[in-house]
Amino acid sequence: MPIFHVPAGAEQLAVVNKFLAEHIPQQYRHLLPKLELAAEELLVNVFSYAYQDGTEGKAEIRLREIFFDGETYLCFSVTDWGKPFNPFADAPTPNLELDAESRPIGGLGIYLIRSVTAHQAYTREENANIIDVYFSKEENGR
Amino acid sequence: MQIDIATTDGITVLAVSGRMDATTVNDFSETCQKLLAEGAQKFVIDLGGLEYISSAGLRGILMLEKSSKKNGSSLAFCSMQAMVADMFKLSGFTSILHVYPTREEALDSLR
Repeated sequence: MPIFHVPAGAEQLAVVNKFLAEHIPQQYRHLLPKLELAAEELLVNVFSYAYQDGTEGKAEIRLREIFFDGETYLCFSVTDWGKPFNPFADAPTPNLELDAESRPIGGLGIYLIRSVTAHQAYTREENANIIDVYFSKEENGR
Repeated sequence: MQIDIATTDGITVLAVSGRMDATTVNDFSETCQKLLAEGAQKFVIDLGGLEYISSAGLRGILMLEKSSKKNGSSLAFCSMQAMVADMFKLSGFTSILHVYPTREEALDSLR
């Protein structure tokens, strides 16, 4: 199971993307842009919110194929050791009906992750936040 | 990300290529703000070379739309690749922004 330790900072996205491109199983390769999207949104969240106490943040990402609820998925996981933070809790659904002037800036990240993945899970375990997102092999199955 | 700027019939055309993410969106926003400050009134943002956009990139696009509205400038987007078109659609941007299949149609909309 490929695991990569990500140093803090948005500037690490390029090395994260290299890791993802090298390790995504062939049968999921068409999902790479969506996987990169989920990785960016989750890691930016971690480095923005999990380590606000000034400690140097770090995260670990994992990529593996799993069997869940009768189906096979690509599971992407992000673990961090910052304060407890569940990005899926209380994340508001953006109002897509508003015109450009009324639309708030931001608030799309979690919505986009939900839109491109089949399942999302958050666990707090031994001082770590663990987020798992599941990609269905079928493009239309999210 | 690369941004090539040209002018056609008084319309400023920004051809954006590469990736618009948390690490690059500021370059896009700064370039647009500079052009608005210099008085550009009509913009075509050609996204034909853009392979990837995240919520950070979408934030930059929305900020540009808001700034140009405030400034009285007009904006048209065009030529999106599949991933970028997907994100615009998911975010509802296709209904709040002026989006065209080709650069020529985007230019025509502003002439």
